[in-house]
Amino acid sequence: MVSHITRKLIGVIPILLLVSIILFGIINMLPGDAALAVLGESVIQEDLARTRSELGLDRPIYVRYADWLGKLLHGDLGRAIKSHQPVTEIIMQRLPVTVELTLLAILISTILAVPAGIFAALRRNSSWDVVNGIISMIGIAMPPFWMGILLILLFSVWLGCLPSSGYVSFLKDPVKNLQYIAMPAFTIGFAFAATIMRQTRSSMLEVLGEEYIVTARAKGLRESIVIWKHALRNALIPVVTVISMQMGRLIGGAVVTETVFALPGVGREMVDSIIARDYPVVMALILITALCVLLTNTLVDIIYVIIDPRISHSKES
Amino acid sequence: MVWILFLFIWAVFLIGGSPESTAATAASEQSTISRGGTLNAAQAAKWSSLDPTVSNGRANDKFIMNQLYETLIDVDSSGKYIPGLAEAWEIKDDKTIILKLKKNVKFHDGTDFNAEAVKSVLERALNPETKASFREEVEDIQAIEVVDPHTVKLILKGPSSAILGALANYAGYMVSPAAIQKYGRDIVRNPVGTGPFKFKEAVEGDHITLVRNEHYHIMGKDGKALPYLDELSIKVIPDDSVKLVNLKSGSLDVIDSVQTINIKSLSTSKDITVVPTSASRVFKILLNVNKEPFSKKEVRQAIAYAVDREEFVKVVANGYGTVEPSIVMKPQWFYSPVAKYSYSIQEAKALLSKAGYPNGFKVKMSLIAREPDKTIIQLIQSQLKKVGIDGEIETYDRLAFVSNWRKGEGEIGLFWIPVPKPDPYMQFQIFFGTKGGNNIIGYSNQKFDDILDESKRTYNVEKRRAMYQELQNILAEDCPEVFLFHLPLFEAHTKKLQGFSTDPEGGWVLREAWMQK
Repeated sequence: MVSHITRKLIGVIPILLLVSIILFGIINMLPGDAALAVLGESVIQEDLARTRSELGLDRPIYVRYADWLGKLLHGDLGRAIKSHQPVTEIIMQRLPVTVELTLLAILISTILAVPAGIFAALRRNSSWDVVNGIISMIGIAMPPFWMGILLILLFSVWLGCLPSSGYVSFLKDPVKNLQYIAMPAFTIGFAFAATIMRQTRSSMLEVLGEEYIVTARAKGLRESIVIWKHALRNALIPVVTVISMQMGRLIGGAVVTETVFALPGVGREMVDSIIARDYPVVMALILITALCVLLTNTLVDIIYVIIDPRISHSKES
Repeated sequence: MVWILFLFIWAVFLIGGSPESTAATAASEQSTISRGGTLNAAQAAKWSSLDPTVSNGRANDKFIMNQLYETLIDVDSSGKYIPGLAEAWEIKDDKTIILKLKKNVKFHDGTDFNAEAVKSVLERALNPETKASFREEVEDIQAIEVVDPHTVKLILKGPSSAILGALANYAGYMVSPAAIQKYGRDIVRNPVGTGPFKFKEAVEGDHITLVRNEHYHIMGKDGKALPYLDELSIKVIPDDSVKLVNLKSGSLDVIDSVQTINIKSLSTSKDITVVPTSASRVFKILLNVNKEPFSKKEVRQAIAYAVDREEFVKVVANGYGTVEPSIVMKPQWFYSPVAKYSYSIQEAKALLSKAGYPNGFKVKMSLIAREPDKTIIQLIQSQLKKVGIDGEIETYDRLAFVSNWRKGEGEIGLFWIPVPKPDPYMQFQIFFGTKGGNNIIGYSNQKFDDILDESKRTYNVEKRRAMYQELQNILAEDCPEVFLFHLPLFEAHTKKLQGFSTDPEGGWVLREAWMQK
């Protein structure tokens, strides 16, 4: 198990390296560069040329990449080209917001979707199943942007019980923090819940048709034990896979949701930095996002083992 | 020694302030001013810098700059020059301007604002290493001399009528020299000015919090120092609908750039006031004058005839825009009506035939991915098709769009610019002067450049007016860009907000703002 995780973690490094090369290439292929973003559109040509050389943007792309990578290996993420703010500081400001938003969204969606999916499977074709199906379709089809605006209209404009935008750190004021983050987390969580619910339902239905469930029932086990111990455990494996695979989508959703609720998260900063061709910031933020996704996948591997011990045996043998 | 009052007159580049803001001011005088509280504001664009000297998002950054800093010369809501940090100024001769500075003004860091500070700030801006965005506006300053602690002498290379306009704008914002010394390049994140509010904290591109400058030098109507508000929070919210919903929910008290489509619904709200500013956006078609077929004047003129401007105003401006084939707004003192180019397909076709394109041609139409640009370009595409010009639409992000045009790769482009600029010279020079920074179409006309330069060398208003009218005629004839329509800029705030006003470019002025309890 330990060696398996170690292997996985080592495997992360070449992936990150590949991501960084592709990313660096893409940012530099975009027309317009950071010098123009720094100096603005009304800049005179000579100032633009001077700034380009000051920022080292006139060097060949591989030299710039090597320079960036060398600094990264020394733990130096550099400074934002436009604001001159250390990139580490930007990450420390932004990452906690997105991490909190994402974790809370996963929590909300799991709490909503897993039980709903199980009951939908148990009461297949009942009115409960149909209603569930409709709600989950709405969840999948509704863009997070629209969902966010509707929530603001309901809870902030009409009911006036939740603030419509802004952010306070959890450490500063936990109650306020939750008030601010509740709607954005629900916005992402709702769409996410729809996918999990449908996966749980179909996976449960499949497992419930397996022979070992028939055997368990034939043995005279209580129905609750059959469901919770035998069926659910096996049905959860694909659900966990879906949750982990959706990490990327969650972060994508965070970009939009952070814009709607004016949250100072990674997603918004990423978009702003791409617009300004601020490559030290873009590189750092996307690599951290990639790292989060890769680590989640590793974490899911561990969860597999907890849910189904046979997985680790088969891998280690 | 001549105190040139006429400069006040030509400074009136806009007539009249906004009726709503005047009403708000009148109301504020009647009711009792209450001090304290936080004002929550939102602007659409991320600020480019907190240091005015290197700021490049000039219209957007003003929302913050006006609160942190003050200019040497101020502009009132009607566009007239009034004392700012300089309580008086005098043009002694063609090459000398004397500024008398206000006494007892301190920067937020406690250091004195004085003649040395002005010299230091202006010298920093003139240094090419600083890359000040407004360097062109002040390049006529040869030297800055400290006469006494409160008197500064600007020695000019020659007469320069654009200088005062510059000192009433970005070049005039005074940053603490001690802070520049202390923070170096990081001054862009640690602003220290003399304004009514001082910097507390900011998350880049998300929000900035400013607090009351308790040592501010201007007194309020209640006899105590301004500002009335304790705190000011300015958020960056790019999406219009998000801004609106926050204004309606009470999370925001004031927002910038309200789209015209939302004005009607906001105006009926009992809690919200929509404020028209004196600023506008000029929508225009860029034409690459150095590339076939647009290098031919007839082709450019044909396009100017082929666009139906009324249709843009109807579809895009929701009744708030005006058809105006010019870069100059009607209320500006140097405006000259351009009668040319009323919609005529026959005229357009005749000109295309004359240019050798009787069957039209294929062309790339580029735009920045935003609204209302996407709607407008589709209208342009269908209108030009009627004269045989077959456009293929290409959408870019802003930086890519500008970069392509700067490289000379554009063909037809859609763009809009905020007006007015601080001085008519700038309004023409940056877009159409051969060396103009925003001249991304590559336009160059020696006669135009000569008249433009001459306009800067005279202080006589009537002579300047005639020259700018001549420039408008040249632009109409040459047609390097096809001007479509003007769309006034609207802002909105809660009715609880009193004493709110805007500068000529639409930037908020909040030193006398207060919240009704």
